[in-house]
Amino acid sequence: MKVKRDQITGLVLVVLGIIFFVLISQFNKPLTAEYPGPKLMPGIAALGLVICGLGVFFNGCRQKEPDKAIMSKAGLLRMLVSFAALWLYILGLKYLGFLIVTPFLVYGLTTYFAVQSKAQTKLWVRIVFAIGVTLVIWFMYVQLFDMELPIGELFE
Amino acid sequence: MLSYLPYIFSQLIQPLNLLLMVAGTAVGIIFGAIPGLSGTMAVMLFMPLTYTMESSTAVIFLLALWIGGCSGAFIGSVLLGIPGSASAVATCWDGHPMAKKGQAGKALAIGMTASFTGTFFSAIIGGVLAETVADFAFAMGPWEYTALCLLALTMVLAISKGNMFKGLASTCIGILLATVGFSPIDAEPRFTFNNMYLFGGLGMIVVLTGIFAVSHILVTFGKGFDQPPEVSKAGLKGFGLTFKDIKEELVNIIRSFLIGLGIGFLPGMGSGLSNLVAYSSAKNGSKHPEEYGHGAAGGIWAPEVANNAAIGGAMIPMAALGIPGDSTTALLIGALTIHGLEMGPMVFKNSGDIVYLMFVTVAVVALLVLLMQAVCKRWFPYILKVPSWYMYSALLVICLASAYVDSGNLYKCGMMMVFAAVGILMTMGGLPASPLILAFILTPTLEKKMLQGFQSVPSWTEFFTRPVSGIMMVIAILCIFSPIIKPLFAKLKKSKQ
Repeated sequence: MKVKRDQITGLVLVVLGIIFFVLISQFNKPLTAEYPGPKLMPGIAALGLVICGLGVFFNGCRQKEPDKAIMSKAGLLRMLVSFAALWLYILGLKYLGFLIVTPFLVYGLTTYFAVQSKAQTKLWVRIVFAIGVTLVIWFMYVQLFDMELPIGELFE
Repeated sequence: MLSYLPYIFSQLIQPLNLLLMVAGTAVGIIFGAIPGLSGTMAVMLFMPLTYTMESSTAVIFLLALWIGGCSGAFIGSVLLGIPGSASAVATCWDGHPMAKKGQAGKALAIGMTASFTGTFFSAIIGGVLAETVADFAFAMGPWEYTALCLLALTMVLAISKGNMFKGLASTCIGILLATVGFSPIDAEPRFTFNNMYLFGGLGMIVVLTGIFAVSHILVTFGKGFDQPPEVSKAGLKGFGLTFKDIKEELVNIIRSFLIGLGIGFLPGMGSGLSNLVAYSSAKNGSKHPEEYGHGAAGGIWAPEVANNAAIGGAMIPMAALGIPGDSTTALLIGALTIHGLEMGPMVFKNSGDIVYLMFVTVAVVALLVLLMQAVCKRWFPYILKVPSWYMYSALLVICLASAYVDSGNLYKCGMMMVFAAVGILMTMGGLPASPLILAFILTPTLEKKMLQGFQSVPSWTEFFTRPVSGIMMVIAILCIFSPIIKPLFAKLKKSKQ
């Protein structure tokens, strides 16, 4: 028998609920009938997660038709690559700053998104777009609204 | 209210405010029109830009984004048959068939006029009623407030068909995320793991942008971006609507307006539900229900008037009670709190000028939206043709920039990515995002009021013995169990027949 998506979701919710219960039990202030204190709200939510998790799990057990795929394996890989690129971008922001790293991210993502979508895009358009987006966002946040964007530890 | 008019007028004619109103409206319409984006996302992404603004300027900019987004949602529904957001789902059913018949111009004109009618008049009614509701809310104690917050959270569950457990689970996750940091009143550190970045709680931008925006973009890419659609530009010249057309649908318009206003007023509900209810009422009340689904004008009027009338409706509990009508008003409450405007009955005493500025801004933006849409109608197809690969890469950078300016450190950018992962997992598990947003925004108020209630009278029975809170608690409990109760009643009715 193939495991259903709802069964996995349900189990994850139950485990999450139990983990939160353990964490809540470590709070100092006790929960009493006269004053529920800081334990009540997260306690209700953790209990809710366990109950809902069981509900979702049993719904999954009763489900007869197979799960529809949310995305293909190639799609999952695409998503993970983009996710990893964003983490690398944050790392780049830390050391090199917004103005240097952002054009590379925008160019990289635009190219990757376009190639994976089998779209024809011109190289110079992507380069101009990457630089343009970076400058517009920089101008908007830093010049127009007087905010700070990372300048990079190497340039501080 | 009249005493605030000089202030409101002086704010609205300030060049910066005017400029931001126009820019916000244009950006909102674009976000509303493009399927996959929404006015809510626009408010979320641009909210950090308002941190350095005056409160009045921030209010004008955020409301322009919201109203533009709500009003622009019908464009995708009419021209593509794909709703720009959940509020325009029903508009597809007749808007797109009408466009396919070569009457795209008329369908868009109905959408524009209906959006204006719903937003403009609901804002006026909202402005008139809000202070009265606030006066009533003065009589509410912490118990009533707690019950009202619970009611708002549970009402979302009542409309989550077939996935009550998932809706409730999403609410629970929202509550847990909202409890990170020091607890109210007792100042007990919760889920902080001695990490100084967690002591102040998880920021709204970090959590909501991660779960709602970044994860959405990544999942959409994983599923595969669509090629820019081919949209016909035929029949887009001229306004395409006559007074006779409006007169023929007057009853439908008034009925849909009242439905939208009423549903918008209910805490936790919003335009997502109002457009469906109004469509079904219009179809049932029509002399020619068989025309619905094949390009009937009434099928566009009803959802568009209703989803925009929900704006004014949702603003009443937002301003008077501090309770959001939907996920966007939840965001706005959070944004206004950052500007020192705590929504609730006291806001009319402390910042009445800003509150009335909000209602007037909505009415003015409604007019601006109508003008902009009427002038730019022939360019709507180009908005829908923006390639996803350019749009989404730029939006991802804006998401991360928002997280940075919200907190001033890159740690929060990393946290946003963690919440993006949470959002991806929630999407894969089929958990809806809206209940999480509402729970995340409402929980701090709910918990604070509840603990205040217990400090005054240390007994649970207060919830049920006080008439107003008792009624609200009973409705809240019924809402939780309504997905189970409703089918049981239906079965019982069937077996009797």
